[in-house]
Amino acid sequence: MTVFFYTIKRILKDKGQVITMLLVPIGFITLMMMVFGVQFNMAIGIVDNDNTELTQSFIDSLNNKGTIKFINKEEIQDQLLSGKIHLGLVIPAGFTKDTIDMKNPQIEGYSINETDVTVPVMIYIENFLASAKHIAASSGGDYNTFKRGINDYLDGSFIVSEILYDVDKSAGTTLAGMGFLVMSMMFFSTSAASIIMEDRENKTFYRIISAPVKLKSYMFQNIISFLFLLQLQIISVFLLMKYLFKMNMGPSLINILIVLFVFSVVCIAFAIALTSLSKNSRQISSLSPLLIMPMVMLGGSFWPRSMMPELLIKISNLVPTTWVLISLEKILFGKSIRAITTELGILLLFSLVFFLLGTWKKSEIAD
Amino acid sequence: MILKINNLVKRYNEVLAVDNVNLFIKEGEVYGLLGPNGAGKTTLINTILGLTRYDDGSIEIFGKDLKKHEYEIKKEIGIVPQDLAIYEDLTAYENIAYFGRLYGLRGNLLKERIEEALSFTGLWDRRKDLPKKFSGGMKRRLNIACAIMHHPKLIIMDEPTVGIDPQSRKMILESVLKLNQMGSTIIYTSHYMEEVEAICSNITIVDHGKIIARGTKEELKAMISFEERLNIEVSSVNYNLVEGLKKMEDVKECSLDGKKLLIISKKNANNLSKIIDEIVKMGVEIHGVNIEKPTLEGVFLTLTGRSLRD
Repeated sequence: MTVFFYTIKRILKDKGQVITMLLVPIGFITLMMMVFGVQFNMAIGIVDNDNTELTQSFIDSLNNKGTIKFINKEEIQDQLLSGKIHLGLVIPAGFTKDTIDMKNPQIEGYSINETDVTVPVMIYIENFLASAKHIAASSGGDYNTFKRGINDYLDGSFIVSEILYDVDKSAGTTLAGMGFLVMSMMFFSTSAASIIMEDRENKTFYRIISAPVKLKSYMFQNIISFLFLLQLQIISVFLLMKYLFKMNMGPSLINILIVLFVFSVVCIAFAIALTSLSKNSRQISSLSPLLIMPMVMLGGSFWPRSMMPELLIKISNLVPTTWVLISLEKILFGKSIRAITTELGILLLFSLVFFLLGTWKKSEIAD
Repeated sequence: MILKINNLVKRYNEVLAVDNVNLFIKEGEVYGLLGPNGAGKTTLINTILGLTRYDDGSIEIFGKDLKKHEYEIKKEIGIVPQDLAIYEDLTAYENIAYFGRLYGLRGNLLKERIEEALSFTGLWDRRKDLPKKFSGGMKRRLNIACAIMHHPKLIIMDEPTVGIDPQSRKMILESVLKLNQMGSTIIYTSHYMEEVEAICSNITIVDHGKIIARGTKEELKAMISFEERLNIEVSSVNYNLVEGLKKMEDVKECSLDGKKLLIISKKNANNLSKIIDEIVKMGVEIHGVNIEKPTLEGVFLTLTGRSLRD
């Protein structure tokens, strides 16, 4: 494991590498918190056509998600377009009765292209409806039992059947922070992998490979050293996000770490491909921002993908950053790891393609 | 034999880089490998190190087949590459420690060997410094220290003295002989013929992928039917003198370069006194006489048609 330890040592001794690894993501996240640190206050327009104790309790519970405005259904479109409200909700008449009778009533929600800001509230409503359904089933059609159950639920006294994640607005900020982490991971991996090119340029590769070290072992040890440093980067940024900025890291930190670990593999595969296809380290450093910046912009690191034109959204499906951010969004907003198997599969496919590209160009060791 | 190369062939597409080479090096030798740029020396060294696959022939090192025992053999070889192969961002100590670990050295043995290699190359006092603070000569010495710390049986030194000051060159040449006395066999390539003459017991000259001559220094010099060359510095130019000298018995050629006469005579002509008499007779004063002896450079030039530094 000599190559592994010395690669880590060399990277950590290099100020430029440490800046790319830690200071860039920390700097970006700090800047983001300074500019957007004030919580976004969402305006929710509500049309309550049922007007019962249940709907009132539900509306009260939405108070800590944003500012509530009571409006007419006809006003929803205009108010959404003028930006006076960000989300419109219509509670149908007979909602409470239908819930108790287990008829599966729905609350209609209106927003512009389901922007990210409304996602936490939409998930909250989904959870509320699911819980109300379960409580109704348990109360056996008795209104008083149902009402007590709902009040206990809204007070947070008990959690029904499934574990429900209490989504709040800060998850959106966390996701934005993750966008910067994703960008930094890509930059750091290419910067770290350029050490392989430097070994070739300063001829130490020749000496290493003249020693009893197999080429595969040299590459493997380098790759796991990059992987190790990427995990160090992720954990350092996480600690900062969680303990300094008190960001909401979602219901499952482990699941986020799994997603980012898979993305680390993609980053390294991309960096190896770039190193292998470049002529020298200068070419790597000039090509990497040209390739990485469009990927992170298309993937949604700087703004929600939904803000982009349809064509760009389609193109963004071709970059790995899109899939890692979709996965992170789902995990942050309460979805399980099973819900993102497709995204993880796509990410692994990206890493396979990059590794194949990296190993495609073969040459004599001594060349 | 520490190294046996039989009928080695290496092609790069249509180019024959190594053409049926046979090379045998005995244990304890300092073996000179000479050849102009592009002669195939580096390809030959790379095949010995297992870095370049060969198309035909066989290589046996320490009595073992290279293809079958590559990693076992590599443990006993040290390479001093022509280009500096050191990390500028690691200290001299860390550089040697890194390469020592690659050869399986650990713990106290590793520490002992690092100290030994740094002391041997005169860098112990600078062990904590980064090579970027070193002079060219010191970097070259570190390049050697990285190659010898594991006590290799065979050391390959590819142009180890390129671009350094005379003091460092002297130190390196002395260290090559010392390493040889300590039991290492050395393959030495250089553009500096005087270095090869000074330290190598046997020499092989390679050109266009082929071995064109081999032997001791004396054997190689004897190989060429070298004329006797006289350089005589005279007080004044006299064309009648040149014509007169040309007509002398055994003189093959006489030319004038400024105030210098170059006279080429047949081998064993022994006509120096007759030539001097002729010059004096013409009333020309002699300021200096230089008799050129056969050199390895001359051998090389004769055999390859090129100077070694071309």
